[in-house]
Amino acid sequence: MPMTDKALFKEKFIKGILVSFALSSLFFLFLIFIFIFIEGLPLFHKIGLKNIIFGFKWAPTKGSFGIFPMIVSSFFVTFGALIVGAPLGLSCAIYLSEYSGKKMKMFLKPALELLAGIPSVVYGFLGVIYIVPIVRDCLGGPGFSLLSASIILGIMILPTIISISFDALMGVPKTYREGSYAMGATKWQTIFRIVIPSASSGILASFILGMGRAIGETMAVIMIAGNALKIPTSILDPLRTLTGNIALELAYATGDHRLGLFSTGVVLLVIIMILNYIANFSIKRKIIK
Amino acid sequence: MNNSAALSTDTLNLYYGTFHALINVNFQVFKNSITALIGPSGCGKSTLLRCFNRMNDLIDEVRITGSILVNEQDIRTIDIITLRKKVGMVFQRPNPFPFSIYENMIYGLKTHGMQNRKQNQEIVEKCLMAVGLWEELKDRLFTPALSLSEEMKQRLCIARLLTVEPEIILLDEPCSALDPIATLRIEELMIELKENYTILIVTHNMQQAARVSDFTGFMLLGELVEFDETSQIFTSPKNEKTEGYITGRFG
Repeated sequence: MPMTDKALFKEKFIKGILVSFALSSLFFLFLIFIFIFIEGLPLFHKIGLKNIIFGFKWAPTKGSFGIFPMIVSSFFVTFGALIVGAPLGLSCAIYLSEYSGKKMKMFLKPALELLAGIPSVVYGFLGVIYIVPIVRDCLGGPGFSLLSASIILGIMILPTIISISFDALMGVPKTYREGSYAMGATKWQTIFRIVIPSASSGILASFILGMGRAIGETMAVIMIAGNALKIPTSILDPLRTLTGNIALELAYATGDHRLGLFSTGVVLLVIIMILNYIANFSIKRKIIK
Repeated sequence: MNNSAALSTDTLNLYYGTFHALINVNFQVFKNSITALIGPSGCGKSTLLRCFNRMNDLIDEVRITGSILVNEQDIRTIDIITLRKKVGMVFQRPNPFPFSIYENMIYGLKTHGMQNRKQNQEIVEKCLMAVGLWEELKDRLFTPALSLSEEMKQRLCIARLLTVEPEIILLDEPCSALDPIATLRIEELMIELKENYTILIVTHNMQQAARVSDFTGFMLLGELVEFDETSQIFTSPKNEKTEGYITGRFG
Protein backbone atom coordinates (compact mmCIF):
# COMPACT_ATOMS: atom_id res chain seq x y z
CA MET A 1 0.00 0.00 0.00
CA PRO A 2 1.50 3.39 -0.92
CA MET A 3 1.90 5.81 1.92
CA THR A 4 -0.56 8.64 2.19
CA ASP A 5 0.76 12.19 2.23
CA LYS A 6 -0.16 12.47 5.87
CA ALA A 7 1.77 9.34 6.84
CA LEU A 8 4.75 10.48 4.81
CA PHE A 9 4.73 13.84 6.53
CA LYS A 10 4.59 12.15 9.91
CA GLU A 11 7.63 9.99 9.06
CA LYS A 12 9.60 13.02 7.95
CA PHE A 13 8.54 14.99 11.00
CA ILE A 14 9.66 12.25 13.40
CA LYS A 15 12.96 11.88 11.59
CA GLY A 16 13.51 15.64 11.77
CA ILE A 17 12.90 15.73 15.50
CA LEU A 18 15.26 12.81 16.11
CA VAL A 19 17.99 14.40 14.02
CA SER A 20 17.74 17.69 15.87
CA PHE A 21 17.89 15.94 19.24
CA ALA A 22 20.82 13.87 18.10
CA LEU A 23 22.68 16.96 16.96
CA SER A 24 21.94 18.81 20.18
CA SER A 25 24.54 16.73 22.04
CA LEU A 26 27.07 17.88 19.49
CA PHE A 27 25.84 21.41 20.02
CA PHE A 28 26.43 21.17 23.78
CA LEU A 29 29.93 19.86 23.20
CA PHE A 30 30.54 22.79 20.90
CA LEU A 31 29.21 25.23 23.51
CA ILE A 32 31.48 23.80 26.19
CA PHE A 33 34.49 24.25 23.97
CA ILE A 34 33.58 27.81 23.01
CA PHE A 35 32.86 28.74 26.59
CA ILE A 36 36.05 27.33 28.04
CA PHE A 37 38.27 28.64 25.29
CA ILE A 38 36.77 32.15 25.35
CA GLU A 39 37.32 32.35 29.08
CA GLY A 40 40.61 30.53 29.21
CA LEU A 41 42.56 31.71 26.19
CA PRO A 42 42.95 35.47 26.97
CA LEU A 43 45.15 34.69 29.95
CA PHE A 44 47.48 32.66 27.76
CA HIS A 45 47.81 35.76 25.64
CA LYS A 46 48.39 38.04 28.63
CA ILE A 47 50.75 35.88 30.73
CA GLY A 48 52.26 33.77 27.98
CA LEU A 49 51.75 30.11 27.17
CA LYS A 50 55.16 29.19 28.49
CA ASN A 51 54.69 30.96 31.82
CA ILE A 52 51.44 29.12 32.43
CA ILE A 53 52.27 25.62 31.24
CA PHE A 54 55.88 25.58 32.43
CA GLY A 55 55.53 27.99 35.35
CA PHE A 56 56.25 26.48 38.74
CA LYS A 57 54.48 29.02 40.89
CA TRP A 58 50.73 29.17 41.30
CA ALA A 59 49.84 32.41 43.14
CA PRO A 60 46.92 33.71 41.10
CA THR A 61 46.27 36.69 43.32
CA LYS A 62 49.86 37.81 42.82
CA GLY A 63 50.00 37.31 39.08
CA SER A 64 51.71 33.89 38.94
CA PHE A 65 49.77 31.28 37.05
CA GLY A 66 52.24 28.43 36.70
CA ILE A 67 50.40 25.11 36.54
CA PHE A 68 53.34 22.87 35.71
CA PRO A 69 53.28 21.08 39.10
CA MET A 70 49.60 20.31 38.58
CA ILE A 71 50.14 18.99 35.07
CA VAL A 72 52.90 16.75 36.35
CA SER A 73 50.76 15.71 39.32
CA SER A 74 47.81 14.89 37.08
CA PHE A 75 50.02 12.67 34.96
CA PHE A 76 51.56 11.01 38.02
CA VAL A 77 48.16 10.19 39.45
CA THR A 78 46.96 8.96 36.07
CA PHE A 79 49.91 6.65 35.56
CA GLY A 80 49.65 5.55 39.18
CA ALA A 81 46.03 4.65 38.57
CA LEU A 82 47.03 2.77 35.45
CA ILE A 83 49.71 0.82 37.33
CA VAL A 84 47.07 -0.25 39.84
CA GLY A 85 44.13 -0.62 37.48
CA ALA A 86 45.63 -2.06 34.29
CA PRO A 87 46.88 -5.42 35.63
CA LEU A 88 43.76 -5.89 37.75
CA GLY A 89 41.40 -4.88 34.97
CA LEU A 90 43.12 -6.90 32.28
CA SER A 91 43.26 -10.01 34.47
CA CYS A 92 39.60 -9.63 35.23
CA ALA A 93 38.75 -9.21 31.54
CA ILE A 94 40.81 -12.30 30.67
CA TYR A 95 39.10 -14.30 33.36
CA LEU A 96 35.68 -13.13 32.18
CA SER A 97 36.25 -13.81 28.51
CA GLU A 98 38.33 -17.00 28.67
CA TYR A 99 37.66 -18.85 31.89
CA SER A 100 34.39 -17.90 33.54
CA GLY A 101 31.22 -19.81 32.90
CA LYS A 102 27.93 -18.22 31.95
CA LYS A 103 26.77 -18.00 35.57
CA MET A 104 29.89 -16.21 36.71
CA LYS A 105 29.60 -13.80 33.77
CA MET A 106 26.00 -13.08 34.66
CA PHE A 107 27.08 -12.24 38.18
CA LEU A 108 30.27 -10.30 37.42
CA LYS A 109 29.05 -8.05 34.60
CA PRO A 110 26.29 -6.35 36.61
CA ALA A 111 28.65 -6.09 39.59
CA LEU A 112 31.11 -4.21 37.39
CA GLU A 113 28.39 -1.93 36.11
CA LEU A 114 27.55 -1.18 39.73
CA LEU A 115 31.21 -0.37 40.38
CA ALA A 116 31.00 2.15 37.54
CA GLY A 117 27.83 3.64 38.98
CA ILE A 118 29.14 4.35 42.48
CA PRO A 119 29.47 8.15 42.92
CA SER A 120 33.05 9.35 43.08
CA VAL A 121 32.47 11.05 46.41
CA VAL A 122 31.87 7.59 47.88
CA TYR A 123 35.22 6.42 46.55
CA GLY A 124 36.80 9.51 48.06
CA PHE A 125 35.10 8.82 51.34
CA LEU A 126 36.35 5.24 51.43
CA GLY A 127 39.80 6.50 50.56
CA VAL A 128 39.84 8.97 53.44
CA ILE A 129 38.49 6.46 55.93
CA TYR A 130 40.59 3.43 54.95
CA ILE A 131 43.36 3.98 52.42
CA VAL A 132 44.76 7.23 53.81
CA PRO A 133 45.19 5.94 57.40
CA ILE A 134 46.65 2.65 56.18
CA VAL A 135 49.20 4.43 54.00
CA ARG A 136 50.05 6.83 56.84
CA ASP A 137 50.46 4.09 59.43
CA CYS A 138 52.30 1.58 57.26
CA LEU A 139 54.46 3.77 55.06
CA GLY A 140 54.60 7.13 56.78
CA GLY A 141 53.97 10.61 55.40
CA PRO A 142 50.65 12.41 55.68
CA GLY A 143 48.68 9.58 54.07
CA PHE A 144 47.04 12.06 51.72
CA SER A 145 49.30 11.14 48.87
CA LEU A 146 50.02 10.14 45.32
CA LEU A 147 49.85 6.51 46.41
CA SER A 148 46.43 6.78 48.04
CA ALA A 149 45.00 8.68 45.08
CA SER A 150 46.46 6.15 42.64
CA ILE A 151 44.92 3.23 44.49
CA ILE A 152 41.46 4.77 44.58
CA LEU A 153 41.64 5.95 40.97
CA GLY A 154 42.97 2.56 39.92
CA ILE A 155 39.81 1.01 41.32
CA MET A 156 37.63 3.68 39.73
CA ILE A 157 38.96 3.02 36.24
CA LEU A 158 38.49 -0.76 36.52
CA PRO A 159 35.04 -0.81 34.88
CA THR A 160 36.34 1.13 31.87
CA ILE A 161 39.36 -1.11 31.42
CA ILE A 162 37.48 -4.34 32.02
CA SER A 163 34.52 -3.70 29.76
CA ILE A 164 36.56 -2.45 26.79
CA SER A 165 39.28 -5.12 27.15
CA PHE A 166 36.59 -7.75 27.53
CA ASP A 167 34.95 -6.68 24.27
CA ALA A 168 38.35 -6.73 22.56
CA LEU A 169 39.12 -10.24 23.85
CA MET A 170 35.68 -11.54 22.91
CA GLY A 171 36.20 -10.07 19.45
CA VAL A 172 39.16 -12.38 18.76
CA PRO A 173 37.82 -14.94 16.27
CA LYS A 174 37.22 -18.45 17.57
CA THR A 175 39.23 -19.77 14.63
CA TYR A 176 42.45 -18.28 16.06
CA ARG A 177 41.89 -20.11 19.31
CA GLU A 178 41.06 -23.35 17.52
CA GLY A 179 44.14 -23.02 15.35
CA SER A 180 46.28 -22.69 18.43
CA TYR A 181 44.66 -25.56 20.33
CA ALA A 182 44.89 -27.76 17.26
CA MET A 183 48.67 -27.40 17.35
CA GLY A 184 48.83 -28.64 20.89
CA ALA A 185 49.04 -25.30 22.67
CA THR A 186 47.71 -25.13 26.19
CA LYS A 187 44.94 -22.77 27.16
CA TRP A 188 47.32 -20.31 28.77
CA GLN A 189 49.69 -20.38 25.78
CA THR A 190 46.72 -19.70 23.53
CA ILE A 191 45.59 -16.78 25.65
CA PHE A 192 49.02 -15.30 26.18
CA ARG A 193 50.45 -15.75 22.69
CA ILE A 194 47.39 -15.52 20.45
CA VAL A 195 44.35 -13.98 22.12
CA ILE A 196 46.02 -11.09 23.95
CA PRO A 197 48.26 -10.03 21.03
CA SER A 198 45.26 -10.21 18.69
CA ALA A 199 43.26 -7.99 21.01
CA SER A 200 46.16 -5.67 21.82
CA SER A 201 44.80 -2.56 20.14
CA GLY A 202 41.49 -2.84 21.98
CA ILE A 203 43.31 -3.47 25.25
CA LEU A 204 45.50 -0.44 24.63
CA ALA A 205 42.38 1.63 23.92
CA SER A 206 40.90 0.49 27.23
CA PHE A 207 44.02 1.67 29.06
CA ILE A 208 43.95 5.04 27.34
CA LEU A 209 40.26 5.58 28.02
CA GLY A 210 40.93 4.55 31.61
CA MET A 211 43.62 7.23 31.72
CA GLY A 212 41.11 9.73 30.39
CA ARG A 213 38.76 8.80 33.18
CA ALA A 214 41.52 9.06 35.79
CA ILE A 215 42.84 12.42 34.64
CA GLY A 216 39.35 13.89 34.65
CA GLU A 217 38.35 12.58 38.06
CA THR A 218 37.94 15.39 40.58
CA MET A 219 36.03 14.75 43.77
CA ALA A 220 37.73 11.55 44.92
CA VAL A 221 41.13 13.05 44.15
CA ILE A 222 40.51 16.25 46.10
CA MET A 223 39.49 14.20 49.09
CA ILE A 224 42.57 12.01 49.21
CA ALA A 225 45.42 13.66 47.34
CA GLY A 226 46.23 16.34 49.91
CA ASN A 227 46.21 19.12 47.28
CA ALA A 228 49.64 20.57 48.10
CA LEU A 229 51.02 22.89 45.42
CA LYS A 230 54.23 21.14 44.49
CA ILE A 231 55.67 18.46 42.34
CA PRO A 232 55.61 15.27 44.41
CA THR A 233 59.05 13.77 44.94
CA SER A 234 57.86 10.48 46.41
CA ILE A 235 54.71 8.41 46.16
CA LEU A 236 53.92 9.43 49.73
CA ASP A 237 53.84 13.16 48.92
CA PRO A 238 50.56 15.03 48.61
CA LEU A 239 49.78 16.62 45.25
CA ARG A 240 47.19 18.76 43.47
CA THR A 241 45.77 17.86 40.09
CA LEU A 242 44.42 20.14 37.35
CA THR A 243 40.84 19.17 38.10
CA GLY A 244 41.37 19.55 41.82
CA ASN A 245 42.73 23.04 41.30
CA ILE A 246 39.61 24.18 39.49
CA ALA A 247 37.19 22.61 41.93
CA LEU A 248 38.98 23.90 45.01
CA GLU A 249 39.34 27.53 43.98
CA LEU A 250 36.52 28.39 41.63
CA ALA A 251 34.08 29.24 44.42
CA TYR A 252 36.03 32.29 45.55
CA ALA A 253 38.10 33.20 42.48
CA THR A 254 37.59 36.55 40.77
CA GLY A 255 39.24 38.45 37.95
CA ASP A 256 42.46 37.00 36.58
CA HIS A 257 42.38 34.23 39.19
CA ARG A 258 39.11 33.04 37.70
CA LEU A 259 40.55 33.23 34.20
CA GLY A 260 43.54 31.26 35.42
CA LEU A 261 41.23 28.43 36.42
CA PHE A 262 39.70 28.46 32.96
CA SER A 263 43.20 28.23 31.52
CA THR A 264 43.68 25.15 33.67
CA GLY A 265 40.49 23.85 32.11
CA VAL A 266 41.82 24.50 28.61
CA VAL A 267 44.96 22.48 29.33
CA LEU A 268 42.87 19.66 30.78
CA LEU A 269 40.55 19.64 27.79
CA VAL A 270 43.45 19.47 25.36
CA ILE A 271 45.03 16.54 27.25
CA ILE A 272 41.74 14.64 27.26
CA MET A 273 41.20 15.32 23.56
CA ILE A 274 44.63 13.91 22.81
CA LEU A 275 43.95 10.79 24.87
CA ASN A 276 40.60 10.21 23.18
CA TYR A 277 42.15 10.71 19.80
CA ILE A 278 44.83 8.11 20.54
CA ALA A 279 42.21 5.66 21.85
CA ASN A 280 40.02 6.10 18.78
CA PHE A 281 43.02 5.77 16.54
CA SER A 282 44.05 2.46 18.04
CA ILE A 283 40.50 1.08 17.84
CA LYS A 284 40.06 2.21 14.25
CA ARG A 285 43.33 0.68 13.21
CA LYS A 286 42.00 -2.63 14.48
CA ILE A 287 38.77 -2.30 12.50
CA ILE A 288 40.60 -1.50 9.27
CA LYS A 289 42.82 -4.54 9.75
CA MET B 1 50.26 -47.76 1.95
CA ASN B 2 50.32 -50.28 4.75
CA ASN B 3 47.40 -51.84 6.43
CA SER B 4 47.62 -50.72 10.04
CA ALA B 5 45.07 -48.21 11.18
CA ALA B 6 46.33 -44.77 12.14
CA LEU B 7 42.90 -43.82 13.38
CA SER B 8 39.96 -45.97 14.29
CA THR B 9 36.77 -45.88 16.29
CA ASP B 10 34.75 -48.62 17.88
CA THR B 11 31.00 -48.18 18.49
CA LEU B 12 31.54 -44.47 18.88
CA ASN B 13 28.54 -42.48 20.04
CA LEU B 14 28.56 -38.75 20.57
CA TYR B 15 25.84 -36.55 22.03
CA TYR B 16 25.52 -32.76 22.01
CA GLY B 17 23.28 -32.43 25.04
CA THR B 18 20.36 -34.60 24.01
CA PHE B 19 21.16 -34.61 20.30
CA HIS B 20 22.65 -37.91 19.16
CA ALA B 21 25.23 -36.67 16.66
CA LEU B 22 27.26 -39.85 16.01
CA ILE B 23 25.61 -43.27 16.14
CA ASN B 24 27.67 -46.46 16.55
CA VAL B 25 30.45 -45.38 14.24
CA ASN B 26 33.09 -48.00 13.42
CA PHE B 27 35.67 -46.41 11.23
CA GLN B 28 39.33 -46.77 10.23
CA VAL B 29 41.91 -44.58 8.59
CA PHE B 30 44.92 -46.45 7.23
CA LYS B 31 48.47 -45.16 7.47
CA ASN B 32 49.80 -43.08 4.59
CA SER B 33 46.49 -42.96 2.84
CA ILE B 34 43.95 -40.26 2.20
CA THR B 35 40.52 -41.02 3.56
CA ALA B 36 37.59 -38.80 2.70
CA LEU B 37 34.38 -38.36 4.65
CA ILE B 38 31.43 -37.28 2.54
CA GLY B 39 27.80 -36.70 3.30
CA PRO B 40 25.19 -33.97 3.44
CA SER B 41 25.49 -31.02 5.87
CA GLY B 42 24.85 -31.90 9.47
CA CYS B 43 25.53 -35.62 8.99
CA GLY B 44 28.28 -35.58 11.61
CA LYS B 45 31.35 -35.82 9.41
CA SER B 46 33.06 -32.79 10.94
CA THR B 47 32.07 -33.98 14.39
CA LEU B 48 33.71 -37.35 13.69
CA LEU B 49 36.84 -35.61 12.39
CA ARG B 50 37.05 -33.45 15.49
CA CYS B 51 36.89 -36.52 17.74
CA PHE B 52 40.39 -37.53 16.74
CA ASN B 53 42.15 -34.48 18.17
CA ARG B 54 39.56 -33.89 20.87
CA MET B 55 38.49 -30.54 19.46
CA ASN B 56 34.99 -31.42 20.62
CA ASP B 57 36.28 -30.90 24.16
CA LEU B 58 36.01 -27.16 23.51
CA ILE B 59 32.24 -27.44 23.22
CA ASP B 60 30.11 -27.69 26.34
CA GLU B 61 27.78 -30.59 26.93
CA VAL B 62 29.49 -33.11 24.69
CA ARG B 63 29.30 -36.72 25.83
CA ILE B 64 31.20 -39.51 24.11
CA THR B 65 30.92 -43.29 24.51
CA GLY B 66 32.82 -46.04 22.73
CA SER B 67 36.48 -45.83 21.92
CA ILE B 68 38.68 -43.72 19.68
CA LEU B 69 42.12 -45.04 18.86
CA VAL B 70 45.14 -43.23 17.48
CA ASN B 71 47.89 -45.62 16.39
CA GLU B 72 45.91 -48.30 18.19
CA GLN B 73 46.12 -46.44 21.46
CA ASP B 74 43.01 -45.15 23.21
CA ILE B 75 43.07 -41.35 23.07
CA ARG B 76 41.85 -41.11 26.63
CA THR B 77 45.22 -42.51 27.69
CA ILE B 78 47.16 -39.96 25.63
CA ASP B 79 47.90 -36.55 27.07
CA ILE B 80 45.86 -33.99 25.12
CA ILE B 81 48.89 -31.86 24.15
CA THR B 82 50.74 -34.89 22.77
CA LEU B 83 47.61 -36.00 20.98
CA ARG B 84 47.02 -32.68 19.27
CA LYS B 85 50.66 -32.47 18.31
CA LYS B 86 50.43 -35.89 16.72
CA VAL B 87 47.03 -35.32 15.11
CA GLY B 88 47.10 -31.89 13.48
CA MET B 89 44.13 -30.09 12.02
CA VAL B 90 43.45 -27.69 9.16
CA PHE B 91 40.22 -25.75 9.27
CA GLN B 92 37.52 -24.78 6.84
CA ARG B 93 38.48 -21.14 6.80
CA PRO B 94 42.22 -20.51 6.65
CA ASN B 95 43.08 -19.19 10.11
CA PRO B 96 46.58 -17.73 10.16
CA PHE B 97 47.21 -15.70 13.29
CA PRO B 98 47.29 -11.92 12.79
CA PHE B 99 51.09 -11.82 12.99
CA SER B 100 53.88 -12.11 10.45
CA ILE B 101 54.32 -15.20 8.30
CA TYR B 102 57.45 -16.14 10.23
CA GLU B 103 55.75 -15.77 13.60
CA ASN B 104 52.93 -17.98 12.39
CA MET B 105 55.45 -20.58 11.37
CA ILE B 106 57.36 -20.64 14.64
CA TYR B 107 54.28 -20.51 16.85
CA GLY B 108 54.04 -24.27 17.20
CA LEU B 109 57.77 -24.61 17.77
CA LYS B 110 57.77 -22.00 20.52
CA THR B 111 54.67 -23.55 22.03
CA HIS B 112 56.51 -26.82 22.37
CA GLY B 113 59.55 -25.15 23.83
CA MET B 114 61.90 -25.10 20.85
CA GLN B 115 63.93 -21.93 21.21
CA ASN B 116 66.92 -22.62 18.97
CA ARG B 117 66.72 -19.88 16.34
CA LYS B 118 68.83 -21.54 13.72
CA GLN B 119 67.10 -24.86 14.02
CA ASN B 120 63.69 -23.17 13.91
CA GLN B 121 64.64 -21.29 10.76
CA GLU B 122 65.57 -24.56 9.10
CA ILE B 123 62.26 -26.12 10.07
CA VAL B 124 60.36 -23.08 8.76
CA GLU B 125 62.17 -23.34 5.45
CA LYS B 126 61.58 -27.09 5.19
CA CYS B 127 57.88 -26.83 5.98
CA LEU B 128 57.25 -23.88 3.67
CA MET B 129 59.00 -25.85 0.95
CA ALA B 130 56.79 -28.84 1.63
CA VAL B 131 53.70 -26.79 0.82
CA GLY B 132 55.33 -24.98 -2.10
CA LEU B 133 55.42 -21.54 -0.54
CA TRP B 134 59.12 -21.10 0.16
CA GLU B 135 60.20 -19.61 -3.15
CA GLU B 136 57.37 -17.14 -3.10
CA LEU B 137 57.60 -16.10 0.52
CA LYS B 138 61.25 -16.38 1.48
CA ASP B 139 61.87 -12.67 0.93
CA ARG B 140 58.82 -11.51 2.82
CA LEU B 141 58.65 -13.74 5.85
CA PHE B 142 58.08 -10.74 8.07
CA THR B 143 55.04 -9.36 6.28
CA PRO B 144 51.60 -9.93 7.85
CA ALA B 145 50.16 -13.37 7.18
CA LEU B 146 46.71 -11.85 6.76
CA SER B 147 47.83 -10.07 3.59
CA LEU B 148 48.25 -13.38 1.72
CA SER B 149 45.68 -14.75 -0.71
CA GLU B 150 43.19 -17.28 0.63
CA GLU B 151 44.98 -20.17 -1.01
CA MET B 152 48.35 -19.11 0.35
CA LYS B 153 46.81 -18.63 3.78
CA GLN B 154 45.53 -22.19 3.69
CA ARG B 155 48.93 -23.45 2.54
CA LEU B 156 50.54 -21.47 5.32
CA CYS B 157 48.18 -23.10 7.83
CA ILE B 158 49.20 -26.52 6.54
CA ALA B 159 52.88 -25.56 6.70
CA ARG B 160 52.39 -24.20 10.19
CA LEU B 161 50.97 -27.53 11.19
CA LEU B 162 53.86 -29.46 9.68
CA THR B 163 56.34 -27.61 11.91
CA VAL B 164 55.21 -29.63 14.93
CA GLU B 165 55.68 -32.89 13.01
CA PRO B 166 52.22 -34.42 13.15
CA GLU B 167 51.70 -37.98 11.93
CA ILE B 168 48.09 -37.51 10.99
CA ILE B 169 46.48 -34.45 9.40
CA LEU B 170 42.78 -33.76 9.72
CA LEU B 171 41.36 -31.43 7.08
CA ASP B 172 37.92 -29.98 7.66
CA GLU B 173 36.64 -28.87 4.26
CA PRO B 174 39.98 -27.20 3.57
CA CYS B 175 39.02 -25.93 0.12
CA SER B 176 35.54 -24.57 0.70
CA ALA B 177 36.85 -21.00 0.88
CA LEU B 178 39.02 -21.39 -2.23
CA ASP B 179 38.46 -21.00 -5.96
CA PRO B 180 38.63 -24.07 -8.24
CA ILE B 181 42.26 -23.60 -9.31
CA ALA B 182 43.46 -23.08 -5.76
CA THR B 183 41.42 -26.14 -4.81
CA LEU B 184 43.23 -28.28 -7.37
CA ARG B 185 46.58 -27.06 -6.12
CA ILE B 186 45.72 -27.89 -2.51
CA GLU B 187 44.62 -31.33 -3.69
CA GLU B 188 47.97 -31.87 -5.40
CA LEU B 189 49.61 -30.87 -2.15
CA MET B 190 47.57 -33.44 -0.24
CA ILE B 191 48.69 -36.18 -2.60
CA GLU B 192 52.31 -35.13 -2.09
CA LEU B 193 51.88 -35.09 1.67
CA LYS B 194 50.40 -38.58 1.65
CA GLU B 195 53.89 -40.06 1.42
CA ASN B 196 54.78 -38.90 4.89
CA TYR B 197 51.46 -38.31 6.57
CA THR B 198 48.10 -39.93 7.06
CA ILE B 199 45.30 -37.69 5.89
CA LEU B 200 41.63 -37.59 6.82
CA ILE B 201 39.57 -35.04 4.94
CA VAL B 202 35.99 -33.94 5.31
CA THR B 203 34.57 -32.56 2.11
CA HIS B 204 31.33 -31.40 0.59
CA ASN B 205 32.80 -31.85 -2.81
CA MET B 206 32.34 -35.38 -4.12
CA GLN B 207 34.64 -34.83 -7.08
CA GLN B 208 37.31 -33.85 -4.60
CA ALA B 209 36.81 -37.07 -2.65
CA ALA B 210 36.95 -39.04 -5.89
CA ARG B 211 40.09 -37.22 -7.04
CA VAL B 212 42.26 -37.36 -3.97
CA SER B 213 41.16 -40.12 -1.64
CA ASP B 214 42.06 -43.78 -1.38
CA PHE B 215 39.17 -44.59 0.94
CA THR B 216 35.81 -42.93 1.34
CA GLY B 217 33.26 -43.03 4.10
CA PHE B 218 29.69 -41.91 3.47
CA MET B 219 27.84 -40.53 6.46
CA LEU B 220 24.17 -39.81 6.89
CA LEU B 221 22.33 -38.57 9.98
CA GLY B 222 25.17 -39.50 12.32
CA GLU B 223 25.77 -42.97 10.95
CA LEU B 224 28.63 -44.21 8.83
CA VAL B 225 26.53 -45.76 6.09
CA GLU B 226 29.29 -47.15 3.95
CA PHE B 227 33.05 -47.27 4.04
CA ASP B 228 35.22 -48.70 1.30
CA GLU B 229 37.90 -47.98 -1.25
CA THR B 230 37.07 -44.80 -3.09
CA SER B 231 36.86 -46.54 -6.45
CA GLN B 232 34.33 -48.97 -5.02
CA ILE B 233 32.19 -46.27 -3.43
CA PHE B 234 32.01 -44.23 -6.58
CA THR B 235 31.56 -47.05 -9.08
CA SER B 236 29.56 -49.71 -7.30
CA PRO B 237 28.27 -48.60 -3.92
CA LYS B 238 26.66 -51.37 -1.90
CA ASN B 239 24.17 -49.21 -0.07
CA GLU B 240 21.37 -47.57 -1.99
CA LYS B 241 21.58 -44.43 0.15
CA THR B 242 25.22 -44.03 -0.84
CA GLU B 243 24.26 -44.48 -4.44
CA GLY B 244 21.49 -41.94 -4.06
CA TYR B 245 23.89 -39.40 -2.63
CA ILE B 246 26.75 -39.81 -5.08
CA THR B 247 24.42 -39.76 -8.05
CA GLY B 248 22.94 -36.55 -6.70
CA ARG B 249 19.46 -37.79 -5.97
CA PHE B 250 19.58 -36.22 -2.53
CA GLY B 251 21.92 -34.36 -0.22
